[in-house]
Amino acid sequence: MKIVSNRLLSLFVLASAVLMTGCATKFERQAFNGEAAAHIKTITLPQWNDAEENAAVVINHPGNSFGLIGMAVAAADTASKTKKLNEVVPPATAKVTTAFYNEALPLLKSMGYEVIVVPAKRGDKFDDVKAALNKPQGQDASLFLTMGAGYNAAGASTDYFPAMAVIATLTDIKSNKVVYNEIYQYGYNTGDKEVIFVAAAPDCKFKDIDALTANPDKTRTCLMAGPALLAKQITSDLKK
Amino acid sequence: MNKKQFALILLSTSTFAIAQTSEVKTETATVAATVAVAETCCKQYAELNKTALPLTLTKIFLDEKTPVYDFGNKAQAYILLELPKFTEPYSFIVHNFPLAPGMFNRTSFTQIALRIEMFDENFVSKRMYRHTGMKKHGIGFDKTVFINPQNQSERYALIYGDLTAAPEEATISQRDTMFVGTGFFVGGEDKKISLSSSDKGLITVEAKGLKEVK
Repeated sequence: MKIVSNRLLSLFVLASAVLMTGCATKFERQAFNGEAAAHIKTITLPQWNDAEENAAVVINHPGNSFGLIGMAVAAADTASKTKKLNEVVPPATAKVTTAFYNEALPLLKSMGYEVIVVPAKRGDKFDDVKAALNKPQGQDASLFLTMGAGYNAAGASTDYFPAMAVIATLTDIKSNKVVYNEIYQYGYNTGDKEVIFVAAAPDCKFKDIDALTANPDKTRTCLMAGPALLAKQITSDLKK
Repeated sequence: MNKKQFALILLSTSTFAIAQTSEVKTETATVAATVAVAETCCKQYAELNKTALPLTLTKIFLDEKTPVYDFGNKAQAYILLELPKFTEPYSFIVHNFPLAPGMFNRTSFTQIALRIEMFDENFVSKRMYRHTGMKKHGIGFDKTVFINPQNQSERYALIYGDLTAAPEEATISQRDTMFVGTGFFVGGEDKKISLSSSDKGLITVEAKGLKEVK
């Protein structure tokens, strides 16, 4: 059950990147105005634990065209492919979330931010995590982060690309105003203009699940390049 | 897999399905950055055609009829935005949508490798942003320009494409819907595209933090 919850959170974040930009309600992206945010020195952010699995997902699974039974087939196929991926690249050797924080936290500190880390557990309600971030602890702003990672393929017969999505929202504690709100996506590119896209290495694509699991080192390397690249981009966007 | 696990996986998969069927709906206006005949009009920036910074999300087409100016490579299309007099901080977002101009070739795209130069009222250059320092939003270059108190002397934003920008390649992974007789079949496709630099194309401009003066 726990495994499914973790998979769900990853899928949720990856899906949110699409949902938040694709719904009738427009995602209100907001670039960070460093010059106007000189007063933001201390920030809180959630430190999520690693997912217990990295998902392998066919985004537009053909099963979804065939009603509930088809969707059930699609869900079972996703579970099976995710299992295959995690057998050859065990999650303990591909800790995407940890890698993100290992890169991001020192960068934020080197930029002059004092960072207060608030532990968060996958499965926790976002509202509870936000409340913990906003609890007065000397911070000027709270940086709410959600992230998910794995491999995505657009369809049943298209390539798998490494995918990591991060949604980052910085809220000024005093004014309660959102001063930065962006969606970042590594590897898998839907072409959505609301999403900041960071490309993977050109050879980081795999024609099917067999190719994805044939060379675990390459599969892991392509996936693990994502957190470092996104951490660099996000911290660079938060420069004052 | 028990029933609850199964239901959760099913839910997550349908979330993707729903997400993929949604489309971005935004209100846009269109401004015609065109005049009757394209010609190299001017010897100095002060003589260039000006367009007021639009307050809402606005599409601007740079095409054959757009006024041109020679920035050093050849006469090329541009848009010169006239900024309002500074009263409070604001920003504007410039985004380029790459286009596939060929009727039969939908994989060769052109993009405007954005160059944005900020000028004061006497056309003295204050800041310059090049595409090489910009992020890609989807497949298009994108830049948010902030006008803070220290930038209040800036009154014009000149936008044009860097014609020397290197060609690029990209893959867009998207939904592919087919009608198969009994209904729609939703699948996915990877579209590999090439992006070459052009002075023509579509950009959007959106101001944030500005109120309409009545």
